[in-house]
Amino acid sequence: MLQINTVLMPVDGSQFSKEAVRYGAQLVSAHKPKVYLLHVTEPVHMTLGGANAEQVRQANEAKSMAMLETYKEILAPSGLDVTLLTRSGRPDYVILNVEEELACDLIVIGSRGLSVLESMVMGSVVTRVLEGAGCPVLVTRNVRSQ
Amino acid sequence: MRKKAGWLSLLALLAIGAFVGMFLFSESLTVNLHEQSEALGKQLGVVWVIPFVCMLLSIALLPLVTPNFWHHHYGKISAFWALAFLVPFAIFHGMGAAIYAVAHTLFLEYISFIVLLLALFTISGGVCLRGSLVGKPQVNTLILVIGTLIASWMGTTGAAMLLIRPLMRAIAHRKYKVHTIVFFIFLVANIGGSLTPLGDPPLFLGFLKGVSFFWTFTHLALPVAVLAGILLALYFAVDSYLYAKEGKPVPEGGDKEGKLRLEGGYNLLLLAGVVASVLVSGLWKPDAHFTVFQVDIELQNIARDVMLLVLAGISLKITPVSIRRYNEFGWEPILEVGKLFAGIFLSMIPAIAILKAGSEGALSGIIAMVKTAEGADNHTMYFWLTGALSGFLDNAPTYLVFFNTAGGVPEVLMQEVGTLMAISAGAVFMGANTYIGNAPNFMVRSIAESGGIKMPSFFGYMLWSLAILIPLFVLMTFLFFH
Repeated sequence: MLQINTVLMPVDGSQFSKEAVRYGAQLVSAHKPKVYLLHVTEPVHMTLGGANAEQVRQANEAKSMAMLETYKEILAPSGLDVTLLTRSGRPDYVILNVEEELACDLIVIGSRGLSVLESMVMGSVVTRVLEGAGCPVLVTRNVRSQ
Repeated sequence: MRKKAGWLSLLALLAIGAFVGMFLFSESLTVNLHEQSEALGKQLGVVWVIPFVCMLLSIALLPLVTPNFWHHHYGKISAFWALAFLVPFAIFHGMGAAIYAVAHTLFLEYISFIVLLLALFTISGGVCLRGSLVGKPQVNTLILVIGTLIASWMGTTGAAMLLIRPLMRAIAHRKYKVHTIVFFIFLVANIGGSLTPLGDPPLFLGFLKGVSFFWTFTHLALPVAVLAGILLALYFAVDSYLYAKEGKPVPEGGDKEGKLRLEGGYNLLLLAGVVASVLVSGLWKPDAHFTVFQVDIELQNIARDVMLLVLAGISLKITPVSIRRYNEFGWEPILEVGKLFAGIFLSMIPAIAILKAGSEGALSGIIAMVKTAEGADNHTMYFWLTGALSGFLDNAPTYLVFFNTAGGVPEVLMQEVGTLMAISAGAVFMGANTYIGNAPNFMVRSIAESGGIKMPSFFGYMLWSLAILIPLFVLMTFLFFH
């Protein structure tokens, strides 16, 4: 039988990711998995170090955690076991590293779509996660209001 | 992300608009802007240097004083100091002179500088040394030796990025770790990069100015060998003592990383391509150029920059994502360097022009400091002044400032040997004196801290350099720079 014990939901504060989280939770709630909500922050700049870097890191982390709490509220009705994670770095690499670290069974991620120029310049985090993930990835887009 | 892309699109449009504008404006000008800018160096007062000084002081002090503000606005601060020079300059000396100064700096220095760093950063970020090493004094010293030897060929940043994680894994079980990271910064992130223009940014700027590729290798090999030899011996002695004091620990747990192996090794071939591209651009003289706003951009330099971008692109394409993930590769460091150096290069324009004017310029006091009573170059002063400023400001602009103080004519400086040796060695060696002396210093500190090693504070690190490096630099002065 299909095992979905650990689900990773990377979020970025956008409406797209809120819809992804809501949709993903409804889809997997029957399996009662452990859900990890992940927010990736910008790394602390190199010119900062020691206590100063720590100060910036803590401020970023606090902001990130506050944002993750809003997602936790979205998930509250589902009754799922939710853990909040905040990491810094390049989003696609961090998502894939966490997926590997937690041996996730599923990644749920929202896609907002990119313009041609955006794709050319930066590519898409979602595309790179799809390419590198070691587990199934559910990409939600244009989720109809429930 | 969409916001970022919007900004990028806007910047791209602005750049294209500026380029077309420059072209049309330059066509309508009858003034020889090159001659005009040469003459300006004699007229500009010291007040024009203020934005440059403030830019460098901002990098040195703001991260310590207001870290949060710096973290969120360092790009704007950099742009502010560039504009603090450019806007008044355009008002007082004309739009033509201002655009010429920007075009000259961008096309002959900044773009090539950033393209080389980008290529070295991208390619070395695709090489990964995996596997278990046990951090005994012999092994640690060997890693430092290898890093020192390769730093001149893959850049201090590339060598440091390649070896810092294996070194940290090797010493993970050791109680005393800080000394290893500090010596790593001394040797791999700085002194090891003294031998070629690829090693350290100041030397590449010298290459762009016309210093031949192998000049530094020929003249600095002996000083580097002596300095690195002493530091390595000292490190081995200190680490052996501490290793014994710790009771010669062995790592606990199994061998998770497996056998020692190099992944993405084909990137080393691409690095060889970088060496070849830079070398060829110094040897090949097709005598062809493109002119943009009266600035002549030579064909060999365009070819080199394009080649470097192609090599970086190949590396991105062929390197498996798993290697870059393991290296925690990201664009943030190079973006940071790009933004900061844009501000440095632009705000530096008047300082360079004044120094080029020599004793007729407003900074004749600095010129007098580096001359003996007989009017000859004082090598000791060149070594220490370049070095002292390199430690606290960045070593790349400092090198350029003193290169121009010494006359700025590469053929003369290469012939005379002593002055250029002192400037090159001062800029590269003494970049190790503080965390902010050279970009890989704070990269290494940042990686070490994220790996749980409690690195010394800014001033704590300086105690290490004061105790170890300064006496050695005094020795080097007696041996090579007097």
